[in-house]
Amino acid sequence: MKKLISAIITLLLLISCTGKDVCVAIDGSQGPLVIYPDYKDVTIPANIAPLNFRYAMNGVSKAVTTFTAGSRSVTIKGTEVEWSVRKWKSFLADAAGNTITVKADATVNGKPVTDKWSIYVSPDTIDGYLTYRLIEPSYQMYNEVSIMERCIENFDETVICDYKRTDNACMNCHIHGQGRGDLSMYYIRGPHGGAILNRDGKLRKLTLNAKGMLSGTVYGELHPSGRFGVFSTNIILPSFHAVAGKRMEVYDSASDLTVADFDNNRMINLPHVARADKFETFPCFSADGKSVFWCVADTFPLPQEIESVRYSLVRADFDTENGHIGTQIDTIWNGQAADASACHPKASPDGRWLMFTVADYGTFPIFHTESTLYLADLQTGEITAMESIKGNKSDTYHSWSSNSRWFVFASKRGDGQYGKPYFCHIDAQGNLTKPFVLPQKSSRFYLYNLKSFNVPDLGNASTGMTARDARIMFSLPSEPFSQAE
Amino acid sequence: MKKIKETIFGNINRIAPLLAFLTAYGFFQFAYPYHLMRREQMTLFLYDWDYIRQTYKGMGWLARFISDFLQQFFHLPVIGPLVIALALTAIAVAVYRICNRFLSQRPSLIIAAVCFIWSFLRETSNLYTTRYTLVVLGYLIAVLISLKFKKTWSKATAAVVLAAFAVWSLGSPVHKHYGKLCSVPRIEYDRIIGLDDQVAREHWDKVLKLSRKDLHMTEASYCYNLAQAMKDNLGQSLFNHSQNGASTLLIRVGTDRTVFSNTLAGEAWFQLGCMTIAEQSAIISLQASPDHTGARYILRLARVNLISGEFAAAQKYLSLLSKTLFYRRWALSMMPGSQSEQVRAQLSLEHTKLAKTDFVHHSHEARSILLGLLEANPRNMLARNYLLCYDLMNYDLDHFIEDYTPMKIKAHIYQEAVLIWLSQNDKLTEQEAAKYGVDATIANRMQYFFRTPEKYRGTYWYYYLNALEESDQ
Repeated sequence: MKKLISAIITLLLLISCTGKDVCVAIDGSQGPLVIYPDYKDVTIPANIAPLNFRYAMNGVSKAVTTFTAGSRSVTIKGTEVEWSVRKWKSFLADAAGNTITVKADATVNGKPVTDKWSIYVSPDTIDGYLTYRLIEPSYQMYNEVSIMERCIENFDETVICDYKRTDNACMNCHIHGQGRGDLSMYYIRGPHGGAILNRDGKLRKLTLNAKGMLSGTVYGELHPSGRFGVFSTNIILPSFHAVAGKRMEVYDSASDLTVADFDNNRMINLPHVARADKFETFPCFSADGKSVFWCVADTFPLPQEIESVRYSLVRADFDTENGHIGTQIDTIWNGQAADASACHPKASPDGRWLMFTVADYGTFPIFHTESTLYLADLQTGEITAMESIKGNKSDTYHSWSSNSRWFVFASKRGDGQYGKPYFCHIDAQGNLTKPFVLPQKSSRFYLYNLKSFNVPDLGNASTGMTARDARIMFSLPSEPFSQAE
Repeated sequence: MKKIKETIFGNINRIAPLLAFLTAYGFFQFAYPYHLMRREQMTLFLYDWDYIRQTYKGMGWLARFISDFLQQFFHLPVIGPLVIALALTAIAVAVYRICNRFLSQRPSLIIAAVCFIWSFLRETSNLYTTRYTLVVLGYLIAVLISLKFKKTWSKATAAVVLAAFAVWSLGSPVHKHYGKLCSVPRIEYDRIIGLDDQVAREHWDKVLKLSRKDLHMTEASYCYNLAQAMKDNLGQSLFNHSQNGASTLLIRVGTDRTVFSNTLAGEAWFQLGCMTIAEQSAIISLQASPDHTGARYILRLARVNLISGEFAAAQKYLSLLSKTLFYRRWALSMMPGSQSEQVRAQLSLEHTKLAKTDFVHHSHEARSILLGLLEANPRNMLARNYLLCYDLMNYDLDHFIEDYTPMKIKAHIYQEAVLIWLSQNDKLTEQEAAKYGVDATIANRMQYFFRTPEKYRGTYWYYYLNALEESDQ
């Protein structure tokens, strides 16, 4: 055995030392020294995990990187700049509210190269937990899917639900209610599936489907009170584009809105938000829970006329007593007038902003390179495209930090294939900073990663849910819901 | 004779392992050659310490590491059978040695033989991986080592320590993922996965040779048709064997299909130039590989993205492949920015096949997709042949006539189809036939066809007639 291991190690060393190393920047930084992930000139929260990166250039060697904040300096040698969490935390604590200057010296193809950049450490902290589903960018099939919770203050990642304990069932993404760790939900699909609701730390398995609904619930959000959830029910169909780079289009052949009353196990289905001549989808609550926002479009024969489908963003009152969505529907952003289509609205917890994604058409912008995040100021009614943070591929599925000073979104910038969580700071005036990708322990993580971080969602505390809970929930019968009278 | 017998039985513990090794090696090398090659396609081993550190951790890390390391060599035809034959023989030897501590030679041999056969049969299962054999071997070695200790207390201590080490490094000795308790080799299935392998490697002559025995199966017929099309011979050879509708031409990608079917479906679409279906097929296949990292599918994703002009995505896949033993050279040669003039020219040629006009479709709308490809590049003869054959397989002669350009493409089945269409539309005259480039000899043959259709099995007339008869029934 010893001989075998030493032979293996010798062979590995031999092969890994031969030939040139191929460290190619997928979405590297600007400047004389290309780094990946690009953490140059970013604004970060004081509680973020170490920003580990590597010099992503061919022929780079002898790198020395010095981080300076005030009178304190830390130097890391090597082309892979990786911090210990403890050292980083102590360094960052001193730097909060200040700028870290980073000086890098390296040799590139035998020539000395110097670079310098800064990192501003915002005193605004970000919610410490991020949930996401890890899945290949396939919209036809699934296999071995997991929903994870990552503490973004370090590199700890726990499984909330995974295929191993659910007979390889499909599962849909986890959402927090108002960014709360003790109010959240995710779905396990299939015959033993259901919606797993975490309310004040108590788990329930629910069948959010009742007579007259198109399907079980799909997209949605939990009411701040925890009593209600507003959801869409969708018949979702995946399809292909003929043109290569456009990859896939997923569309709804029908979609309606519904409200779930978790206290009374009732589905409140209202005809004015379940119209046959409209697609209604992506509902969310306002911060105070008194309004519902959603996207609505005229129906067309699909997929033939998919490019004609333009979703508008609308709002109606929400009755917190009986869970009814008001009949007075106001248009916030008109898709037809803008000749574009809105999706994924999410209100900031402070009630000030409503962020949504805009693409040329349809309801599935994740392969739409034109997709851009928009910000509606709910105080002034002003709507702006967040062009300054737009990547070269799609930016979608955002989620707010509970202090409304940070948000996360899934971006396919770079390789165009795998969605990664990017964080961005927003101040009281709506000014944005350069987004940065979720830090990983290994600076090479994104080089090897072949899964998308699906629907990243921020939470101010851990949900406390584990894979064991998922197994228990999976084996339990689901609570039925009935149609409200 | 008696002496030979005595010699054999006297040396049975030397001869038996040799026999076991030769049997296993011979079987996997000659009778079941593609089974192990497929394992390599489903595995990725990167020569990168960081990747190794990240990938091989937790229970069973050593078994996974050695298994993936060894499986990369299955890319070569001899190494896979050699490794597996050695591992199976080692299992038999280990079992024999353990048993021989407590039993006499004969029962020990019988138990070892049973274990060898059992392990051998399990190895033939299509869902089995080398890791499981290594786990069994690892545990047996642990038992052997602990038996080496003479004192009871040291034996017990060694057993506990080795068991703990084995559980940590090899994982559980029993696991539901290890597949069925027993399996039997499926030679026909091995030929089919061989076809899939040869199609992916674009060894078209081998595909034609290998498919002949199984043309009654949709998958084999599909591979045969693709190979003929790649050799620009689809129209001439389409009805050389019995065809079962258009599914032997193009396979739909969908949630209701098996992973194997979805994998195979991508092959024709890739060659035709429909990169969106080819890419999705590769991703579905990647998902189904044991660690979601099959080298073959990563290679396909790299090619798809290079041709599509999605260089950042291609770079990601090429970066991974550049850290492998067998794909490194290719990956480096294809890396954007380091490509040779020849590679650039080849990619540019492939790029011309891509559809320019967009529309959204489900993969079963083959005709529209093929028309889109032809609109972008009328010289895409592969797409033209597929379109014409697709029309013919669906008995859609009106569309066939629309799509048929006699000057561009010649094959007897197309001319036979023209004659049927002319006949159906009361236009069957010499002048009309000449307009569609129909040879006089083929027109003459049609007269004889109706007398003895059985003699004209390779014609479109026969295929069409069968359909008519079936619809009458």
